[in-house]
Amino acid sequence: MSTMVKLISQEGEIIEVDQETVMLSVLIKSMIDDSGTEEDIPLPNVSKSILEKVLEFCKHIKEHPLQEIEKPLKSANLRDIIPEWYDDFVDVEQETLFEVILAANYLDIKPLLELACAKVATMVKGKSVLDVRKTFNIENDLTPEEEAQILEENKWAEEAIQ
Amino acid sequence: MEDSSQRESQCGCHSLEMLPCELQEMVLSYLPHPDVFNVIQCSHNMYDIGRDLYRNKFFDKEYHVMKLKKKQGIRQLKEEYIRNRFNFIKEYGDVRTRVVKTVKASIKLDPIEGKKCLEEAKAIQIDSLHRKGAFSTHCGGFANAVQCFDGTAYLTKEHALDFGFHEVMNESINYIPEGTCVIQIDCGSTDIVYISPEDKKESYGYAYTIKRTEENELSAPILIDIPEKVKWVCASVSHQFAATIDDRVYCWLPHADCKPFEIKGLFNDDNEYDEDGVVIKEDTKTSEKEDEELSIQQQLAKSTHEEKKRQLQEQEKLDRKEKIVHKIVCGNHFLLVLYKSGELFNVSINENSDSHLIARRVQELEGKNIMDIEASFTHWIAFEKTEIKPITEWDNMQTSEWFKRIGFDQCGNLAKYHNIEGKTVYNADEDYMEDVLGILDPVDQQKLRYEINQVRETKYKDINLYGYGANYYGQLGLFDKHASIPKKIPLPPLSYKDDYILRFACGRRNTAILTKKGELWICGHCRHDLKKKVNKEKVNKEMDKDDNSSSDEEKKTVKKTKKEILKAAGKGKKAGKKMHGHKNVKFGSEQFEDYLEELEEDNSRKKNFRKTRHSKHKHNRKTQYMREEKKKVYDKEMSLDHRFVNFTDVFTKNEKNIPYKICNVSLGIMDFAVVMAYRNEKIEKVATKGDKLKEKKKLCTIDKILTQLQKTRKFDIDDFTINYIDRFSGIVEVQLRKFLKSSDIPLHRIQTLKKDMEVYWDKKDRIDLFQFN
Repeated sequence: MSTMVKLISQEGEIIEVDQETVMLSVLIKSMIDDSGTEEDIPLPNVSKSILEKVLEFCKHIKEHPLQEIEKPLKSANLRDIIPEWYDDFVDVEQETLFEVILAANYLDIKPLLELACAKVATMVKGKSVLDVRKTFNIENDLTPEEEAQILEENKWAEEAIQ
Repeated sequence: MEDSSQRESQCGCHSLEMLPCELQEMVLSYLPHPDVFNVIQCSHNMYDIGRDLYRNKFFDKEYHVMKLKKKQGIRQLKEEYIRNRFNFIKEYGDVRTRVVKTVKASIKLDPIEGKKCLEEAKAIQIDSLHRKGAFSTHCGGFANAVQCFDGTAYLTKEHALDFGFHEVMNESINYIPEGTCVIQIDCGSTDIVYISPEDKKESYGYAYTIKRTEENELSAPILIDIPEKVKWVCASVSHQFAATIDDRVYCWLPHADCKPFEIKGLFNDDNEYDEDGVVIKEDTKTSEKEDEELSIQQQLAKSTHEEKKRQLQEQEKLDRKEKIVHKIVCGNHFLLVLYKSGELFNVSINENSDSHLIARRVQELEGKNIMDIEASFTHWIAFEKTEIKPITEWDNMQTSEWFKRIGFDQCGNLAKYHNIEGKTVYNADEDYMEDVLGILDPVDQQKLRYEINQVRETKYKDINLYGYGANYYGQLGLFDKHASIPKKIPLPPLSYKDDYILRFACGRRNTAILTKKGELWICGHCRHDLKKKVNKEKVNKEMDKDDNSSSDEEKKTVKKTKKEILKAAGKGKKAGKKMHGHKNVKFGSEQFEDYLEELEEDNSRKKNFRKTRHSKHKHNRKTQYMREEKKKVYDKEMSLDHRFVNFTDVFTKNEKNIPYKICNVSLGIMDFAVVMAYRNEKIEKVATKGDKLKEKKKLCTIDKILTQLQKTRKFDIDDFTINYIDRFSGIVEVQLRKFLKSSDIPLHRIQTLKKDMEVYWDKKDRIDLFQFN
């Protein structure tokens, strides 16, 4: 009934999955549309572990659809907004999370991308500038003058709100 | 987190910055506005990515809508909070905001001066009782008590309320065991009595006494062994009393054995007693009953008797319904028992009357609907309310009277002779009115309907206070020295609309009345000693004036007499024979000297006589003056409508202008204590004379009237003449038409406008017969 599709990861390993599951990815969908299901699909940008995680998401979302996450986030805790499973799914190390984002972007899986981005956003939400820098390992290359300038430039916006 | 970040830095590709720009933007798009601002301050890179997003976000319509919603939400929340708060105040404010204030009881209350004598009165708030939900205060001779809504009662044995309660609250010295629910408490001159129920929900309980020990301390509560549950207690100087749920009244002496005995001669006692308490006439009913009971005991098996007994019991129950004790109060030498039916019984207490006390009906107040009583050491006050029943409960006579009063005389007779009761009138429809009552005019029918609506509910007509007892201090609010029969007390006019007297309180020297809307009037502590009242200084001054003038006269007379003597002496020298027509004395002899001495004596005697006469005269004048002054004061006192002084402002005035309402009052020997709460309702003042003057209609100005006159042509202008003030010749009368045509005198000088000599408009007297709107 359901045709199996062979995916080749970065390491060259083959993973067989249900066609319908992977049709969520726009990239794979277009490739299948082009060359049919018989051909292997090479995914050189995605490692095997990440691919497996992505597939896990694809399988789950088929049965438990995920509503679009509202912007901006209402809560710093994703559990308040989406089902628990999804929160657990993205509750991984930062490295993995970014890889998932990249993979989702590459494979063009919109719900996953949104979910992962939202997760990153929760890590930023409500944090001070310094905390944000520390969390994401961002190097401060702004001079104090520039910082002041940014503040000055955007002051009007802040005032307008209050 | 550190590990991962280290690894990230090692890899160098897994920071937020390493993501493609559009992904970074996507992450940022999830963030609320302020967070984006934080992120763009992190680094150049982030700034470049986030800046536009930040600004776009700010201009984003949805964002603004959200912001607005949020603001509205906050406002709504605030409103809700305020509303909730308001509801809270409405529901619980009365209890939660209660404060207790006191004023020294030594304040003199002169009804002539009125509010002036309150200038020095200062109310002190008892902070320790704040937010305790105080219900009432009780000031006794040795201890004071405060009863709270939750059933707790606080006792202090300090005279000064404030200090005493401070101690109680801070060090939790309370003489009533913790957790005791107190239903009612009363403080006598040395001892305290209170009721505590087994279950908090019950309104009856057991009576406990706390007495003063020999070491001037308060003892532990003593349970009084009364066979029934108690619903009301009161304490006097030496005795304490309790009314039970079976409507018996018990008395005991807290300083003796605390053994309660029943008071005889009350409503439920059918026996009659003579003055020594011996039964004169035993009611036949009771004896029959006893007989029956005996027979029942003898022949228990016979069921017929049991039935009879049950019937009797039921009958008894019915009888007793009327005989429910409503309240008991006591003073030094009396106890008053008030029944729900309005009957009042008096029990006089002597020191010797240990075990038998007999109640007598207060004959003078029989038939009056007494609703409440209060008493103090030497006086008591009864509160009568005359009830007007609703129309549905009227019989034909009442209906007839009512008809006559509202101007339907015919119907009055109809109701009288056709047995029309109030209920039928109340349910009357048009046909009934036309056919039976003969009211055909629809206007009259309307009027009748209106009148029926007016009497649909029970109303209280007259509220009277009757005072009895000593009035040394004017505590009865009467002018007489004593009230040996209950006398009606003149009451002050209440300043709020639809207000009525709710409570009253008696103190040693005072009586207070408190209205439903929180107005407090107190009378008393104003001796009737008129001598004191008369301004002594004034009298003395007057007398001094008289003295001065009289002494002048005296001096003159003295001078005169001296002159006379000299003259006489001269005459004597010259004539030597006739001296004042007294004696024939020869000049130049010893006799003459004797004569001179005699003359001086005579003079001094005369002077003395004058003096005594003068002092008598002075005394007479003084007494007369005093009498006159006395009469003036007396007349003034007699002309007073009432002898109460308005105390409301003393307590309710505060710096923050919080609208407080007085809820309860008690008058102690040292302090007047008042329980106040936040006033929730709006109150309307009764319009006084001053207000009425202000409300006077504005007089229509003359220019308006003249224009209207010309416009409407209702009147002929030729008929009118006017008076105006001329600067030189005073008031001048001219025809209006002439005035309008030729004169250039300003209109405001016009004083009067007349039509055929009848004044139609007058500036001074504010007459306006035109009534143009």
